[in-house]
Amino acid sequence: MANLRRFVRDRSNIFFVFVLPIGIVLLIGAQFGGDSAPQVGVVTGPGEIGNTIRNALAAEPEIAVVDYATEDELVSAVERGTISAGVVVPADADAMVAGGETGDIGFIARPDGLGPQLQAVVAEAVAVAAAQTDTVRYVSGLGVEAATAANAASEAVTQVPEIDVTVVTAGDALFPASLGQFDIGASSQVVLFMFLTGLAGSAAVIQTRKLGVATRMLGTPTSVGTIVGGEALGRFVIVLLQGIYIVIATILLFQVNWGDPIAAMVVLVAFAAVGAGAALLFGTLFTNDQQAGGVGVVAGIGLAALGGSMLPLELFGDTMRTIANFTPHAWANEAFADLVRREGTLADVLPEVGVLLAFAAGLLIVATWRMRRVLTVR
Amino acid sequence: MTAAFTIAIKDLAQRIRDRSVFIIGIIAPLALAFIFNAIFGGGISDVGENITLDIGVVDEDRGPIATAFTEVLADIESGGFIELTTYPDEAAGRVGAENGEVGAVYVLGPSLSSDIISGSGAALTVIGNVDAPTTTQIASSIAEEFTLAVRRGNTAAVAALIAGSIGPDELEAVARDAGQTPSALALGTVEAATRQLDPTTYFVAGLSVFFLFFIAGMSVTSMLDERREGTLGRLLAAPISPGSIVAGKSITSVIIALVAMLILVIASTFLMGADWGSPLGVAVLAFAAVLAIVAIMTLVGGFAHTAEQAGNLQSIVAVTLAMLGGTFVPISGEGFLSTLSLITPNAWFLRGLGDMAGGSIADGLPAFVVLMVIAAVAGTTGLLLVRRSVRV
Repeated sequence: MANLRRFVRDRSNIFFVFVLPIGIVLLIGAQFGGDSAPQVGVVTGPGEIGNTIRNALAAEPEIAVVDYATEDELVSAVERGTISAGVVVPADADAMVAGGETGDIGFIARPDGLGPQLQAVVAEAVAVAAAQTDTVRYVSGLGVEAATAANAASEAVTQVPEIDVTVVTAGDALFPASLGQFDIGASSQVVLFMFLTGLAGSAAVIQTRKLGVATRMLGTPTSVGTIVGGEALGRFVIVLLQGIYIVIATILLFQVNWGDPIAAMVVLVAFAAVGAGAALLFGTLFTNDQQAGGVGVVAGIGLAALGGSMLPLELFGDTMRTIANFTPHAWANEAFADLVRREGTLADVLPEVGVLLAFAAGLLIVATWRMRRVLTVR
Repeated sequence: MTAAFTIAIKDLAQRIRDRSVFIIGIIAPLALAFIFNAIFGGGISDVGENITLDIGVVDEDRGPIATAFTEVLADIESGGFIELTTYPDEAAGRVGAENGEVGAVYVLGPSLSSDIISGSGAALTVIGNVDAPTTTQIASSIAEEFTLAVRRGNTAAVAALIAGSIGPDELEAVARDAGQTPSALALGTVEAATRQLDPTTYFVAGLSVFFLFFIAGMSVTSMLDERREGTLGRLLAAPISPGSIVAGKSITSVIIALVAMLILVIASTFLMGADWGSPLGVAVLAFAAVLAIVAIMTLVGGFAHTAEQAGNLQSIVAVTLAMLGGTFVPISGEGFLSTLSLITPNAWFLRGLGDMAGGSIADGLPAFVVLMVIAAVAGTTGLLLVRRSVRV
């Protein structure tokens, strides 16, 4: 209890434990959860050609069009990687084409990234804009009078059938289409933050030791196991509360789907035990809470990244996927993936929960051994 | 001023003896950047990488149109933009798209050429892998552009026939000729420079700045510590002005932050292959960033009454700015978030490095100016606030 009260009294904890996780879920959802189609910038005057090109691009399902006022702005956006490529339709394009000349459309892309490939998409839009003019020009070129050529072209367009390009998709999606914008971010961040909060709790363990509270308790008929158990229980409750809070908050704010509620709760409990074990171990490894804090942040963020809390495990390479299995995060993330993406039940996540509990037990055993050493060997 | 330096030298010695500064300032950013790079390397960012899209083709037609199309594809392949895989039949092609061997497969059906030439409707199919929407989009656009050209030829030939300038027997030849005539709209490519950091450098630079905040914050916390321990009172009893004490503390933070940055730049260049760009430009920009960060942390610390409070407030500000500035989650795309990120020194530092990477040192000037303005504004306000705390 003393541990809990000490935790609540520090107001900055409120930010790190309750505000920050929601902020990050929001940020990740906004960055990756939404439409990730490549953005193509467009600079165009009021003319017909520019309009046609812009509309043709906007009609493409996997391209997002962004308008820019000037070519300079568009070029720096491409250079800085804000957008993938750009098109510049000169203001006099319509006049040039009407006067029988060639209208020069500029495609702007970097040599790296997707830019060069996106030229095909822009070329298609330009071909749409040029179709009618090209037909009229060709027929006029055969010596036909302009007005007659235009009429013939209009009629020919109705007679010549279109050649359809039909697009179908195949394969099983890595992430189901029903997956909400915030679903991946929410479950991976709950894992990251619960562990981080656990490690931050190691500072409290160090304080308990430094202030001599633990040594004094040892003087009473209290075993090392009881001290470790008490400290661990305090951390466990805090970490679990944070986990439950994030789950409820993301359901309320972002309508995140967590799957089977009982199974999700079981995973949270198992992972909270891991967080508590890690807090205890850290608390016995360091004597200076600033050092523990620094190493804790690195370990917390680093292990989370390795365990698939920053990039979904499905997108890992083989080697990194194997390494990931050495982190408790990977097992928790995998359990949530079962629940959220594969509609799993309690039975499906039992293996992962088992591994997590084994992690927790291992950490606590080592922590108890370390605690006995640091408290008795002086 | 001598007093300020004496205090700075004492503080430096104290901080070096406490190993946390090395952990937070050097080991932490390097270790995290290493992990981020191992996971994200190439996965999340394609800066500096030339991409080749895997596209398959099934030619069951083997007629003139299908041949012309595969020639177009071969041409694009020779440019290095796509890599073609030929499948014997539609079933094999579908399997290739399904299991992600290729991002998309063209199926040129058995009657494609004859249907188009005879003037009946025809269709060309693109089977796209569900997780490769961009490759599928590009594959479909390549096909659309090709079929538009074919149809343009056919339309021109039919129009010429309607206008009476050619006979029905000339249709096919004229269609081919018209399809190859240059269009009234020419698409020219302007190659843009890459003003963006490669993923390794991006992560190292972003994380370095993030951890610099914590080093910078120590100037205020160490003063509040001195107050708690009573040593501040003793300093004030000596003939030292409060300004000198604040200056001494700030100088310490600036020096430690600059040294940490120098070590990080050198270490990441040799250990991880980071490419920071011109040393002079990096030095100037890093100097401005350090001043801005120390200023912001002084300002934030100025609101606090105890060292714990200051440390907590500073952590909150550091984490928030890093988040918005794209340190943990790179922010790309045009939108509210990328505009919002420009309130952070983190984003300006990264942008300045990127601009210099794609141009010259002069291109880093806007970022330098913004950082210096942040430093001046936050620094002046911060010092005024902190002076209040210089009391017993």
